[in-house]
Amino acid sequence: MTGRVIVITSGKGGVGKTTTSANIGTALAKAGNKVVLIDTDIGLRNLDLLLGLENRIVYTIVDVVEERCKLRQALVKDKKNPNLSLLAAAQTRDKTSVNADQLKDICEQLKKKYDFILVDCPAGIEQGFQNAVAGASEAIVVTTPEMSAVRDADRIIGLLEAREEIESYKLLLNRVRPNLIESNDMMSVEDVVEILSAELIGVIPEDTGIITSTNKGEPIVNDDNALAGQAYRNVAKRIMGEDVPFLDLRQPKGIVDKIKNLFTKLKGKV
Amino acid sequence: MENYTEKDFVIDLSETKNTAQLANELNSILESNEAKRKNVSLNLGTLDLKQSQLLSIKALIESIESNISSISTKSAMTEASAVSLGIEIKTNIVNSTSQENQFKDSISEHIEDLNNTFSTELENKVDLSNDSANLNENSTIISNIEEKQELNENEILSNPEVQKALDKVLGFETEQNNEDNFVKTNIELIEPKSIGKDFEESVTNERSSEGKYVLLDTEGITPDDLEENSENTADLPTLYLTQTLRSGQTVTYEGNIFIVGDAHPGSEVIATGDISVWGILGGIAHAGSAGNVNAKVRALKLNPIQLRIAGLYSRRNDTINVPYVQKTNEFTPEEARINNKQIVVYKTLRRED
Repeated sequence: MTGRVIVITSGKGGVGKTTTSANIGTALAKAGNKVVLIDTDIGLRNLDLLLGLENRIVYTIVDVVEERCKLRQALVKDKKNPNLSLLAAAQTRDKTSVNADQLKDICEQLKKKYDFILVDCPAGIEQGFQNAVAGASEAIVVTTPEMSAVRDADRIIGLLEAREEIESYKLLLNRVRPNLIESNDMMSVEDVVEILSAELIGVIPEDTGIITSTNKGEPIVNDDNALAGQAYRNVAKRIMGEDVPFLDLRQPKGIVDKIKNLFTKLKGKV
Repeated sequence: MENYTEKDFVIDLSETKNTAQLANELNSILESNEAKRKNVSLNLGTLDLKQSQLLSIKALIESIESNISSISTKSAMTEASAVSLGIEIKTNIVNSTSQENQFKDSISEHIEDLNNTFSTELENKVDLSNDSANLNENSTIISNIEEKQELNENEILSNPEVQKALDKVLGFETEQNNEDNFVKTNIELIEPKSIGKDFEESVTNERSSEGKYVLLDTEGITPDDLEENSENTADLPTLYLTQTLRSGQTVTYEGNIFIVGDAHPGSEVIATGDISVWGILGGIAHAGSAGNVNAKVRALKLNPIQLRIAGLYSRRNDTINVPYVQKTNEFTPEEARINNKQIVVYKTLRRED
């Protein structure tokens, strides 16, 4: 078996790399794939919190690299889905504790036993980024429809294209607010795709449910009713090669929205 | 026992004077398993609560799969908040009978798990609990069912047979506890049954839905070079720290560690001897890291993500999702140590006077 190693990166911080990793990983595992999530954000780890696995971590990626434990021992199984495992980052060290060759080696070992290895990349383009992309052959670039995030994504795509190992990269547009796009206050999906000229793999709407799911340690894909969860499930299907149409994110306009709109218009005049 | 059909679980917070105290009180009640999956009646006394505050209390109660059935309050502000959230207002919901019933309910639940051989002792116990409930009728209202059990336990202590039965009901190791000094010195065992006897057993028999801590289910995590010993930790040197340990900070020391301050989640405290935290312990604590089974972990509030003593590793239960503890002046110091090859958390009994 040869698994696919996909790095999830963005350049800019706070656009949702970790949330995306947790949700796509969970969705892929729910679909029956064997998945490992690797957190490479050493020193500022969060992926374990999002999955609610913080209390189970004994060994981390640094322990594996420094040979204090075997790779198998450091993999933490998800509490709900036995197909999903996490290789956590160390909280008490920094990015220089691991180098690119070591991460490449870990990915090679995991490839033999797992279908998907998702690498959660830290923000920035320094050592942490270089480590994370070292073992990957595919990339998902996460961005939001903001000028700064798009600019950083452009920089990242440039760096990815310069690397021979990265065979393909896809764009994932996060935190999209359809009503802002409609009122011309936010860049549209088409605008971002045009600026970056990259292939789109998913559009995730802004969802307040993400905040509660993060606090609970439960990825939103487990919530069947959440629109963002559905969007992430669709991304997972596209990764597996299915052809899924993009969601219509516009909420149907009811009387309540009309009244709300009226109020905001009135506010503007006063 | 079928007579007691009162379903409402009463949480009496009328004694609390401010919201911080309320949060702490509520937290400790919700941590106990009794409050799970119940209709909860809240008695809020004269406390003024905004809609947002009441909403967060509601969310907290719903997080343990319970729901608020009614609220009793003397404050107009709280009443208005409750009405706006669609919660029923009840007057004088807290009386001794409903509390009594609740207490009996909790006992009857325990009784169902019990062998028939203990039935006679049990009847004794229920009689006694009736008596004690009557005794308390005129005294201050006790907000916490757990505390009530503690009270009863003390009163029943004089009767060794009943004590034996009670220990059995609460899942304690009977022989051990009767000999142990802690009963006499007002230290009380909490939820020892949640932690398996030893590592191998807990792997196959993990009871993750109960208790505050469960042993880790990861295979072969403990280092091989751990040599079990029982050195006296008082003979070891001590590292004295007066600072807050933050996420990512580690303290490792060959000896005891004493921290005046909190150890935040994400921090690690590793000592070959004891670990004492004069504050809230929220990170990972490993006492007796070289294998000393005499080592202890103590803190004003124990809320660690993982608690390790020598070769025993336990983790916080998933059902308890309280990453940060509200700071108040009312902490009950807790101590964790190994007793009969399991990690047991001891808590000093809060005095009622």
